[in-house]
Amino acid sequence: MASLAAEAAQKNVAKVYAVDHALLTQYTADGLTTALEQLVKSMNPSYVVFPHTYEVRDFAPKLATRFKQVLVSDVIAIHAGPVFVRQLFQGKLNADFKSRARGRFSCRSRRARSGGWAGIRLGAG
Amino acid sequence: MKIIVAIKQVPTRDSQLRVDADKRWIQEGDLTFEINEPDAYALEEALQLKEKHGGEVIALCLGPSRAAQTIREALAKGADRAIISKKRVLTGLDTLGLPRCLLRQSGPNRRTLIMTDCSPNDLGNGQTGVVLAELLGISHGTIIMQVEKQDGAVRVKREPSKTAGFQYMTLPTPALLTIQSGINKLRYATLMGIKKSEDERDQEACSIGTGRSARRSRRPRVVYAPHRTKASGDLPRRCQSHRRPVGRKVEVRSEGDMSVLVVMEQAQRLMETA
Repeated sequence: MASLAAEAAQKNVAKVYAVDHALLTQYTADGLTTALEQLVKSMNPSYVVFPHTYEVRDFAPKLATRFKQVLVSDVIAIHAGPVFVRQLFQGKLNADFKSRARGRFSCRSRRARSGGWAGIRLGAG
Repeated sequence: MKIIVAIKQVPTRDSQLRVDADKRWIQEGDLTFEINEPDAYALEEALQLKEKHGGEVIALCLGPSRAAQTIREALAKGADRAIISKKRVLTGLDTLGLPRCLLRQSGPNRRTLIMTDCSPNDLGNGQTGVVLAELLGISHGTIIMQVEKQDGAVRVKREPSKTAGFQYMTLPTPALLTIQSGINKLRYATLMGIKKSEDERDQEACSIGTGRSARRSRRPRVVYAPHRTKASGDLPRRCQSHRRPVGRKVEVRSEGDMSVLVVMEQAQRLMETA
């Protein structure tokens, strides 16, 4: 854990947070969601970005739902806007996804934060 | 054990897909549709559990009228009941809106198991199951390879990744499982089953309640049961209670909170320019 945090700190990032707890040694979706929920609440970010892994697919939709947010999964590109590109029909089509939450979402949510969360998958090449 | 299987209708696998005029979705006019194949494995697993331990399998489907064909197929294969919540356009719903729609239809009791696919063949979000479990306040397991019923719980084998071996978990019921494709052998519908499913009972639900939820529930919901037996006698009452108690109080807001398809392009063209 400490070595991973040290490695991340060498990258061009402002700050690295390490969450350590005995209950997190064995992966469970419930455990990780609860831990990350507390972290996200304390930081109040505009976006939360995850790698597209099996584990993330297991818990990230749960975490997003806890904040009444939407997880955009399997993102292969991000354009200005931001517009998230993901594939449909097993790669036959590409689709651009854009949040229309501004205004609509903020008036129904106590959180005035708009926008979604993205699970990023890097495209080949 | 009561098992609810959320199924979906998608264009057939070899469909030629064309983007529609306003570039929001595909042209559906000349397409043929089938049950989403990963859902078929979830249904099969549910049917096998029912055959082993008894209980009831309920197929639950959101979609336009054409989706009735898919739930008839589920009935023909052996589902005891099927509920279709008619929704003309599903594409305006995001990954939170769709499970919220399902939530209104699935009120699990203590012995309920909900099953669905890991990732559907159309949108490929793979989030519906996990989000629904969170909305219901129940445990979930994804990429399930094996289900074993226990007293008040299910023991499941999951495949956390292609390389990391298997993980075994025991989840208290009600629980939600997303079933890995290919874990069982799909059955064909029997002739008798097909005949029964065509003879199903069609019932338009009347809406009750107040405020926004009532306005939304006026969307017709049809309950199918293969035959008019004593067992299906409670259907009308069931259709009227459009909101049943769930594990945790959940605020249901309108759908389509976030995402909207803006522009769709043939993937190939995009790849050429990249």
